[in-house]
Amino acid sequence: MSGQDEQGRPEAFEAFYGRTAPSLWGYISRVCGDAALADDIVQETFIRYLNHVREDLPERQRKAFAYKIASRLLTDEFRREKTLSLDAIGEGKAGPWLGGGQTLSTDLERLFGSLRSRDRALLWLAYAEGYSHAEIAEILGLRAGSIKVLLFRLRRSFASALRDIGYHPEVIP
Amino acid sequence: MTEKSCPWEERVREAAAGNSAAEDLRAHIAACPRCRETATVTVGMGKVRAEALGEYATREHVSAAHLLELARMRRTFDSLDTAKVLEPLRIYRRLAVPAGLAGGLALAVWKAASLRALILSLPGFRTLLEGLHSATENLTGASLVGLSIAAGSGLLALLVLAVVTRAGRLES
Repeated sequence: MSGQDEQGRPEAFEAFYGRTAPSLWGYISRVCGDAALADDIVQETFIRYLNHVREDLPERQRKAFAYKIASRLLTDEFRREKTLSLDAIGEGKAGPWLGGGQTLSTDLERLFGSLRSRDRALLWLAYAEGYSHAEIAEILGLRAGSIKVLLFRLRRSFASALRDIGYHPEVIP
Repeated sequence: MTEKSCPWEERVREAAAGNSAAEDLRAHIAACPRCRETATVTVGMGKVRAEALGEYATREHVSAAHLLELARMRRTFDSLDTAKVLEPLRIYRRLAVPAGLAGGLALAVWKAASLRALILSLPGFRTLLEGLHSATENLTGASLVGLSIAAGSGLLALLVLAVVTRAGRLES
């Protein structure tokens, strides 16, 4: 059954949307740093999901498809923003990409926000969503081998930075 | 177990995400630098995620029903756009065969004299004509030539038709 057929089962989509939208919004908003843009991308992601993704796939796979669509929309947005002039940046139109559109309420969020957008996406997918290297590679359009190397370095540096700001969560209750 | 890979890592990640771990896992985390990093990052990312979900809960969102309606409208507009783009092709396919036949016929009429000379110059054609002439005494030579030209024109028209149809398929 395709996403189009899901029109006939709105309750199935509603349940999937309820389970997926919050974390997808969190992913987009934390990677791009712009909550309003995250709203737009999440909406567009689910419209495309409805028109292209088969509903008979396992939920984990459908969720990964939604992340993939959202990641591509985000990449398109990054590319579009790069064409903005320096004047636009001065006026704040390019603020989100410079970390200006997000309220960083904690040291942890500030630390996470200081990372490059690709690194934020990798950390979120691997450690907030628990996706495998292969799944992350598919979502971000990268090679699985690259993901392994990138995450290895990223985990090491991020863990070190977390310890520096006082996080020692290895003591799990 | 090496620093670069640890078979416990996935268990550690799941335990850190769930914020609870068995005694053996805690002992392993204390001894394995890689798993310590994994636990640290997983717990940290769990907090980042929780903050994001909290922020999401305070915002207004489009409903699933509204998204379903938007998706339906998108499909409608997409199909209209597709039909608009394909309209010239549809017209071309409809006109291709009649236009090809008309063109072939016009060409045959326009170049009738040359066509007749061409057909008569075909190797063995005159011999064939003579054989037919002797075999059909009731028909005059002129009518036989006319008949042969008509047959040749028919073949040419079929050839033109085949070419036009092939071009149309390739185009589509």
